[in-house]
Amino acid sequence: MVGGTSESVGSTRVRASTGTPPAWRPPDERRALQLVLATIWLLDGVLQLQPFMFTRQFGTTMLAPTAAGNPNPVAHSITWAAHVISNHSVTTDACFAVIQILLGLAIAWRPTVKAGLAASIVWAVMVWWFGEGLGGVIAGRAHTVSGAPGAVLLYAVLAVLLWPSDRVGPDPSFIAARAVGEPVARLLWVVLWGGLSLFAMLGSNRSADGLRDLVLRMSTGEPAWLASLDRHVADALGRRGLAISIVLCVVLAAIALSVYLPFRPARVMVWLAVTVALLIWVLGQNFGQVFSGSATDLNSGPLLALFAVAYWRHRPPATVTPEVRRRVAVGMA
Amino acid sequence: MPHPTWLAYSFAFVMVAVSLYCVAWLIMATRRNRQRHVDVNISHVAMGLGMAGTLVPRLNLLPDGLWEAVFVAIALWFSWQGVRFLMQRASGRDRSAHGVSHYLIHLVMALAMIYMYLAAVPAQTQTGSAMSMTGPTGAGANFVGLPLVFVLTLFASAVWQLDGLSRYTPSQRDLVGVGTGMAMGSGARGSWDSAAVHGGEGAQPSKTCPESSASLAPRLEMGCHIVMCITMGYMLILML
Repeated sequence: MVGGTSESVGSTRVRASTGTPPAWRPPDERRALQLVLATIWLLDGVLQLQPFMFTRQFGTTMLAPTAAGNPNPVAHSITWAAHVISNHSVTTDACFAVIQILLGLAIAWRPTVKAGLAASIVWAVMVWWFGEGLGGVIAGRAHTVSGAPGAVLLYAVLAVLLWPSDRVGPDPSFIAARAVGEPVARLLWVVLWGGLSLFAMLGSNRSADGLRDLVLRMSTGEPAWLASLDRHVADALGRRGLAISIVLCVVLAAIALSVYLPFRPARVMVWLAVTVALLIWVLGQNFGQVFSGSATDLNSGPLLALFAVAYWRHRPPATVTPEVRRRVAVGMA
Repeated sequence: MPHPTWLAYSFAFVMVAVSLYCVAWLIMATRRNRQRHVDVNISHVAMGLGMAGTLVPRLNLLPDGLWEAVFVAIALWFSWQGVRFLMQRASGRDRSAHGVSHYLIHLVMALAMIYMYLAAVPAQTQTGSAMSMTGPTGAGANFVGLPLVFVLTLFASAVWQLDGLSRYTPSQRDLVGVGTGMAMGSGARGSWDSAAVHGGEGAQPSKTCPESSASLAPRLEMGCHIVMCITMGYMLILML
């Protein structure tokens, strides 16, 4: 990096005023999270190469139905995109796969990390619109457990939070704040987890059978052990959908507000957030249904966990009060 | 569900190319007295040809049973190397911070190949027109969690390697010589050298390392590993 700007892909911020490239450094925490994001993009790209994706059904049975319930202009655009994709399924799917694989590789390769993250934001928004029907948010189909507000939107949010630059000022207390600053990062946390809390209580999600039906629906096409797990979970949920949704709503709301807590309780809540995300991923999303042969991504669970890890609080620097400083000075004298 | 033939052929072509490159690389490295990474390159050649044969049956050079034996041998070799590395670290003879992950990833690759041969069900397709194997069905499908673990490990390795690729910039050519003690020591072995190349943290730059011990085209070598991980991941995903 030339001209005294901050280069922070590696482990520490390196300022170089000469034309020589900075020395290679092992990945720091943020870089590690970027690499996890790159791995997930790479996986998504290769998932796109599954045989089902090259068929017309990808457009007609997976994309087109997401238009339902959306406002007319949105629904029309989704239907149009699904029509184009189903008519040129091989070409379009090959392009999708290549784009996503390239996104993963671009994020993983240091010289192209910014281009990769920027392109991933654009691509994620497009997929959120045309591929996920805005995550069902407007249509009222969104549910926290099934992946609201759309897994792909989380890729874009993570790309912003993990952007490889640092704001001027004191070191932030968590990785997610390095690029956008603590106030904005905290706001994003509140909006995301608060939104998930809200989605848990919207529309049919309040019904007694809502959660059980959602879990049971996913058992179709899954391997025996996962389908069996689904059935057990569905039995356990029974007709207690409303009560469980209320509990989930409260827990997620507590997580949302925990970003303003001090160091130790905030860390506990990050642990809780990761645990909830992984529970949702395993029990509610069947690992993103990757075993079904028609999954395009891992769904929101791993991304929520990654998002939470980016808010892991660093130990605050030891504060030295004027009184302590005076005593030390006296002692040294 | 039928799989696009052109895609299988494309991946097979890449795998054959990688295998040929690894053979050529090994010959050139030997001629120029460079680090050879014999075990890694032999395993890459075997995996490349094995995958090409699985993707396009007419390219299959050996019977499946023989391939299984080859990959079991490779898995045992990297297991032994990993154990030996750990023992040497425990006894204080090696101070390298990295190395186990190098053996581990090649062990995982060998195990993934074994899985592909053991768990796959021969597809009822015309010879030479599509993959010779499909995913396990019925009771066998209960093991689908295992390939997912393989896939995640392989992709994480590919991404990790790509992240480390920029350490070998032309302006930092001396880094190619990754002059760790183990790489330049009298007892240096191919796998130990490659631990420095593939591993990352264990490799310390040294300007005193002689040209003869430098690795030949390390970025291309890492590129081969990345391509191999992606192709293997693709094949495993088809078996999910």
